[in-house]
Amino acid sequence: MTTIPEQFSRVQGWALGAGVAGLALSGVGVFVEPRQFFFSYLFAFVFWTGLALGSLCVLMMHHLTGGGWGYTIRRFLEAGIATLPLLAVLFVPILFGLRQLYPAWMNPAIVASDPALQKIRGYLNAPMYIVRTVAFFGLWIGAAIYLLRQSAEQDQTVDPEPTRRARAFSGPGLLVFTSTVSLALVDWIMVLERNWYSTVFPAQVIIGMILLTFAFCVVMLAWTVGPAPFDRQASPLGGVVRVEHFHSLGNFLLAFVMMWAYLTVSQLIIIWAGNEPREITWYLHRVAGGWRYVGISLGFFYFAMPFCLLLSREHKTNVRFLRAVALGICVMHGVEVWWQIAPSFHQAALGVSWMDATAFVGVGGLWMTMFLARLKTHLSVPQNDPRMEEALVHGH
Amino acid sequence: MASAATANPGEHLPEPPPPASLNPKAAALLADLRTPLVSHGRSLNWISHKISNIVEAKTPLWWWIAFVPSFLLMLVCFGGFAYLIFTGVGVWGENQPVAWAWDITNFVFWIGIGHAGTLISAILFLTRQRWRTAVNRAAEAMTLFAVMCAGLYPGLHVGRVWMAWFLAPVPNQYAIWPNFRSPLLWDVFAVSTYFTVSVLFWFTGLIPDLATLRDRAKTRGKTLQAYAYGFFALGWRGGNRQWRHYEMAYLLLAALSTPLVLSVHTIVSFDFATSVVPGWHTTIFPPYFVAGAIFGGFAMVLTLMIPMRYLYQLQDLITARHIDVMCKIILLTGTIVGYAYIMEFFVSWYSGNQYEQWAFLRSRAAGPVTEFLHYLFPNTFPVLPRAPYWWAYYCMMGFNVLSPQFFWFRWCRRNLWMVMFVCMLVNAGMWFERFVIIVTSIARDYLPSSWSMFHPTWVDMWTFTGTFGLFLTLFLLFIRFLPMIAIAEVKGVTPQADPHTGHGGGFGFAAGPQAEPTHLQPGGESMAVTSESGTRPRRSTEGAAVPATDTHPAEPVRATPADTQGRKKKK
Repeated sequence: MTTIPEQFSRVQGWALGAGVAGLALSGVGVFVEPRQFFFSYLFAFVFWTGLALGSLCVLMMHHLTGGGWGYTIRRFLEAGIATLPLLAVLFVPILFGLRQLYPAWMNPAIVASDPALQKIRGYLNAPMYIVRTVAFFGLWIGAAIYLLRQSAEQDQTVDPEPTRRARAFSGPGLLVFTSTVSLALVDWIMVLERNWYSTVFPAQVIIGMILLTFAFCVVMLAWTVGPAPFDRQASPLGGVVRVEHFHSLGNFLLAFVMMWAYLTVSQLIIIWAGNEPREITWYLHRVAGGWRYVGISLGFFYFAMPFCLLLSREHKTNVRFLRAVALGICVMHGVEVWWQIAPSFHQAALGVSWMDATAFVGVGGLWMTMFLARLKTHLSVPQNDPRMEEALVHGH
Repeated sequence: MASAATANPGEHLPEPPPPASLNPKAAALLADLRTPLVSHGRSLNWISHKISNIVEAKTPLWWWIAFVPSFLLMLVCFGGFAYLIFTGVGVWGENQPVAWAWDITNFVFWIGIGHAGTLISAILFLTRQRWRTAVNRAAEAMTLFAVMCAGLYPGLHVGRVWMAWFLAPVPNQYAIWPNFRSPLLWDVFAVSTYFTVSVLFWFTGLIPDLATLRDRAKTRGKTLQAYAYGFFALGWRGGNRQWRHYEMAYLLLAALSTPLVLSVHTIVSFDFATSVVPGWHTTIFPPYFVAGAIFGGFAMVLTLMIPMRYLYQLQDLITARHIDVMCKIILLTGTIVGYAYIMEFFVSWYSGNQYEQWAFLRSRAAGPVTEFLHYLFPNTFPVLPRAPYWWAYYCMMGFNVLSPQFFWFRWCRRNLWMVMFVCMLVNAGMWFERFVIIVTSIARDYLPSSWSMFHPTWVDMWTFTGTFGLFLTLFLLFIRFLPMIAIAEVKGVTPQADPHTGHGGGFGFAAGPQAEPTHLQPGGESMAVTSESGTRPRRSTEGAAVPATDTHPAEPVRATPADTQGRKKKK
């Protein structure tokens, strides 16, 4: 039987291979069907960036609140935010596809004939888009570096000062995070539909990212603790991770599944009830042809099924079961991101491309390689956090 | 409220000393973690006596001073409504196009305040936030009273009140059904469900405490009181099985109430958002309204609890830490509300839609700030005429978004004057928020020919002022006749209720001479609380224990007049 770090190494090798192969195949796609390539690539990029940004958000939430659940997944979150520089590099191809992705506001002729686009052309243009993206990634990477440094320092000392600093950083950090990610999501997704706008949309996507992060952490934690999760000798996190932690993480999944559904349905009801031509384009493209079944499947498998399964305490304390539900949530989050992005290209009917898969595997392979590389060397629980003893020993 | 810091000299006394080598900020972090939720190691009997005594002691003078004007104001409110019913809605300032004005503003204002109670009771219960126990009872009561104030408006603004039953889907001989696709109808269900469940939840939580009051009344020879409290205590004896059922009922009601916290204000927001009026029709309304409701509700809880804490000397039960945590929630929700304001503003501009832009920029924000921007950058920012209601928008932004930002700083959260000041601003700011949303949007919608300003009449103003009288009257009656803090629950969060007490559980107080032996029973932590009535069924919950521990020399007891009176009576 292989140890967990050995398993990580093996998967890391596969991930690297798959990543390189996926990106290479997708690269062929640029010459076959460039627009499709960029939409597929944007889908892959938004999914994996969502995981990294979700990790940043959850990490800061945990620094602020300090519940016991967070110490068990802190290392995954830290490995997640360490991938942000990679994602910044992976953003570069999108800059070459702005004309393909955003034909309306990138085309001066269309802008000149559209009064609404004309009003915001000072904001929505290629140079500003690039400046914003660089600024956003700069801020996120800066936050990641700061938080990782505090964590490394805290491992070396019993003085709780690094924890205090991380905590003091996280309050304003979350503010900056929410505003920058909201604007980034406007840039990446909202602009796909010409003139479409929805005030809750960025918040709805951020909640989805957090949900994805919790689900991914549950999968990783279930993998790391191995087949005998709570055994002090057999499990690498034995004696630290307890069944209550899985229960708490399951509760988080439930809460965020509900919050995601709440925001999604609110947006739908309000736009449906208003029935204004400029607002409904988003949904018209997303219920056209086969897309409607993708949307309906989200209702069933991204909300109803996990919601029902996560209600029971027994399900949340069963590690294998919870892992299966969390894996399902990860998959359905991918479907949601795809449903948000792809219909802007295939507007008339459902359109699947092999590039959706290769780009997803390509970006994801590289992401997982970097994630596991960090995790291998940092696998354990954080040390010396003054709140940890209270949380892990005294309960919740 | 004279200098609350000196009112409780013991408040900062025995915090466990952190390691000497730590820097002060890190030490404060550790000290925060280990501050118990009941300070000074107060005994379980002290808690029972302290809280029950508020109800049992003679009515204090300040209570009458507060009650009489509140009662008179309540009469003003009723008078205003009576005048409306006899005369017609024309006595209010409504016009075309401003057909909803102060009535719906006040409705949303009060119903928003009514959200903190259920949030504290239900969501914080489910998320195991143990500090909630000190404030949940009063917050729930406040919720009920605020919902009562809110409920008056939709019923009465229909004009012909005797037709208000048309709101209910009753099949009648005209076969007129309400429109089931209208959020106005959902509102009727949401608010009435919310009120019903909140009453049940509040009452369920009261049962053990009513039994405590009943037993104490019996001991003091007050037969009538014992009968009255006993009637509502539903024969509670504090037995093991009773506690088990009680806790299950409480958990289920908490789970049922949780969606209600969201649903009520979500549907209230749908009242606006499902229309096509710029300023109303925006998708962020549901979460933003919910966050705003919690925000306003917490501000009102603190507005009421800080004076109560001072007047009844409850600093050991509602500690500085409780207030600190509530301030943080105000900061969080206020910032979420601020995010929504800014997102709305940004998207109205980003949309490129002239009506959206007009609603936010020219009808609301155009004012001193835009003038200043024009002064700085005359070419980028054109000069705009001042929005007719710019002052309301600036109050809303300043009070709701800027003022809670003080709570980033610990000294602001720990200074009660500062907390009260911010809470007052938030109370006002949340009213302005609803006024801005409702009135500015419809005073100037699509067609300039139909624009019109709204001016409140004296009936509008006095009726709204009167609702505060109704609210305060009910609240004062509540604190006079019912335990304003959940006695049984607070005992569960004392250091001595922690099973780790006594072997260095990290709480500096627990091992002191005051610590009582805990009677742990199967069923966990909450059973420790109930040791008194749990182990001695069919007897007084207090009995002989009260005098013995109450005057323990090691305790820094502050003998208030009310305390001594209560004790004399008992002896």
